[in-house]
Amino acid sequence: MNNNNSGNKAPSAHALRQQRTLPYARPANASNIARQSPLLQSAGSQSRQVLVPQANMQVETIPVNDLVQLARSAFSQKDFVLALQFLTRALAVAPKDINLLDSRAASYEKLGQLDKALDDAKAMIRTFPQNPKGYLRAGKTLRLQQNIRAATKLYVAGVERCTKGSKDFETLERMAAEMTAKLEELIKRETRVLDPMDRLPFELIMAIFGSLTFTERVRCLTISKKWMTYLGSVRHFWFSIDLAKRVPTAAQLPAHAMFLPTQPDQEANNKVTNKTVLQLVKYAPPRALWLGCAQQITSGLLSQLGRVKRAASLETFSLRTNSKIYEQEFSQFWSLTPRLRVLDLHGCFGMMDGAVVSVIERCPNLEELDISECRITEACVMKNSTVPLPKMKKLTIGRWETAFSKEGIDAMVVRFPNLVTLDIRTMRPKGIEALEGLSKLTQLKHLYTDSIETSNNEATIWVVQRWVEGIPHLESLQMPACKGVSDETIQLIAAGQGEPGSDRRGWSSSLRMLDLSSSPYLTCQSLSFLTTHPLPQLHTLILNKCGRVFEQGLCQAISSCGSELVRLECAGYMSVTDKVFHAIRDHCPKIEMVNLSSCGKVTGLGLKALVIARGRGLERVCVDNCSVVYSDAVEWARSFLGDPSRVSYHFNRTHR
Amino acid sequence: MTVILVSSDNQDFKVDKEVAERSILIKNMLEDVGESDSPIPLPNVTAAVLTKVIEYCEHHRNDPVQVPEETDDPRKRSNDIEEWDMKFMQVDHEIILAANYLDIKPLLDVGCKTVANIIKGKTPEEIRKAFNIVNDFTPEEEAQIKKENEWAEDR
Repeated sequence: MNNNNSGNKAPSAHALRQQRTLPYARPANASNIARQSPLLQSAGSQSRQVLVPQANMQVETIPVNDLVQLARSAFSQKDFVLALQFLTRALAVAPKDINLLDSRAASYEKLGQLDKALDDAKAMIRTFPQNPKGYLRAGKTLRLQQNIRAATKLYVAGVERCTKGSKDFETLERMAAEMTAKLEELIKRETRVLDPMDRLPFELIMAIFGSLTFTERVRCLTISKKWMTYLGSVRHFWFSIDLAKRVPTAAQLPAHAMFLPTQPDQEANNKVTNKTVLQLVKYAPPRALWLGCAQQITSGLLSQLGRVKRAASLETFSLRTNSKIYEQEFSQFWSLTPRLRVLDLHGCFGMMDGAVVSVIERCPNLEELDISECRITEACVMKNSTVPLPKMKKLTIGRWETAFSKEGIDAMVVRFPNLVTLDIRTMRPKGIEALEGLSKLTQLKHLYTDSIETSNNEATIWVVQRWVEGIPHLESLQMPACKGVSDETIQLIAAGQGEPGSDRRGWSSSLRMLDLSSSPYLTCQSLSFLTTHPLPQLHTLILNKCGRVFEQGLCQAISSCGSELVRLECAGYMSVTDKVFHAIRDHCPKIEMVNLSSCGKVTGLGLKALVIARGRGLERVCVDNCSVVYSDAVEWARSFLGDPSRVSYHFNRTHR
Repeated sequence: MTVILVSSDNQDFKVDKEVAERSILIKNMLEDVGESDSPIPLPNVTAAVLTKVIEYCEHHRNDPVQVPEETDDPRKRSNDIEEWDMKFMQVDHEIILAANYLDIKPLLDVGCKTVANIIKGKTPEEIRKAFNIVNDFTPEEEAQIKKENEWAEDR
């Protein structure tokens, strides 16, 4: 653009400045329209719309090229207002000229009217979607508007759409790349989430990472070198190493409702190896080590733990269902673990009598021991049986393949006189009479037996009578699938035998959990006995599938023992109706878990009544296989309780 | 009654005493000083952060002052964050630091939980992305680490 040329060819700028008002001057006939009656106005305004462009066309007398020249000279003299006017006039003649639009947008830009500049740039893109010019102009305007995101998006879209090969395209490509990089930088700066290790003090790091599970914490070690060093240096995090693979439980059980031990983890845990453990004990000498079901763990681990001096601080050790460590290594290992308090060796194939004897001898602090389903016999507790181990509080013992005689069980009672919890679910006694000796465990609070295969009613009554006499404060009793359990058993539990000089009535003042499921000889009579001799402390009552129990008896048991009841299970009664739901609603103000699965006549109305009464206090209701509870009632209950997992409703195909 | 708080960049904030006392630090200060309307300088908190902290305290002004109790019930020790708090807490370490300095336990808890929730259930790559952390392990080291921690992947 040069001034000399434009000066010669075009009319003087001053002359044009006079003219510039002309396009906007009112056309001659406009005044007439204004004077027309309102009724005709709409028609008139239409005609005006047609007229205005015509007027423009008529008035514009200067050729477009000259207008452009004038605009350029004005632009170069920084008279942007003037340039704008020339360009607008030129555009009125040639509205689709991309260069004109571009120049006008540039003028708007200079005047700071960015919205108008953007409109022109958009018009450029609309009219010439393959020409880079429009994108470049729009991008520049957006950048001036500080809208980096939109500008980048536009440049990138431009690169995709435009025809390649021009200089403008190269510029566009360069801009797109530059802006993308800039945007990323910006996003990083904007999201001010920074590495917590850099910013937060130690105590807050402790609070944050302390709330993670062990596995999550291990995952955090792999984030960066800094995380690895930092987290690895916090010894506190590595005192307990939990590599057991746990089966997630369907419902969160209220802790006080569950006297059951946790379900054994049975899932394959094959990825945990000796190396995994040795890697993790590097950070701190572990106090707890859980290796449930880790089938790759071998004897080598035990000797290596000793060699790297990582065994001495061990207090809790779980090695459930391991089949690769044998007696010899076991026996040697216990001499390295003097502080051991809890040991879980359930289902360890290599654990035999000798190993049990050595662990009992060498770990004087042992409080909990699980040696169920190991290859043991009663001989393991009979050796040195005269030396009592008063610290032992919890014992889980037994094996189906070998029966325990009365002598063996008596020896066990002598060795562990202060047991609080005894779990002999996997133990098969030689006749229920062999269990009589348990009555000497005066500290006992929790007793679990299972499937005692005797139908000897007399013997069972005698044994339970001895227990009730000898054990003063039993809190939980589980004797499911025991044919010997009868009405007399409940009478003994709830009322005792009327010992002379004692007003103690059975376990009625202490018993919190009672499980007598699958007792075929239990009848309604004993349950109605509870109305006169209640068990007021009962938290958990489990009476699944007792063949001779009917609805009336269940309702009586619920009404007499319901005041503290948190968990109630009476599944598997075809004749049970909504009356049970109503009894629970009326008598169990604290109920949290109800299992009425396979109850054939229970309906959605009963479910609804209970749900309304207990509201969200109800943690879990199980109505599996209840054929007349329909899905609408279940859906309603689920939405009322606010969590679908709180109502269990499945149908087993084989069930009729 | 109002209290004047002064941020590190010398901005004054007029706040109800009740709201300001959500911060144990300020509460103790006020108790030490007694009746006085001299402004309280908070040299560790910038105006931007203080605005947010005051917003939090205003929102929670009617909450009962928490008695710190350790509960064993796993159901109560959840990582749930109230919805309002969740929106409020775009993870900003500045707020956590301020809550720590001002001794506002519930805000600090929410902050720590928010950070912990970012880590929970995520792959290492996702965690790096969330915190803008550069993976500075060499490919060999990373392969080694990955192999060692294979067990942690599917749980």
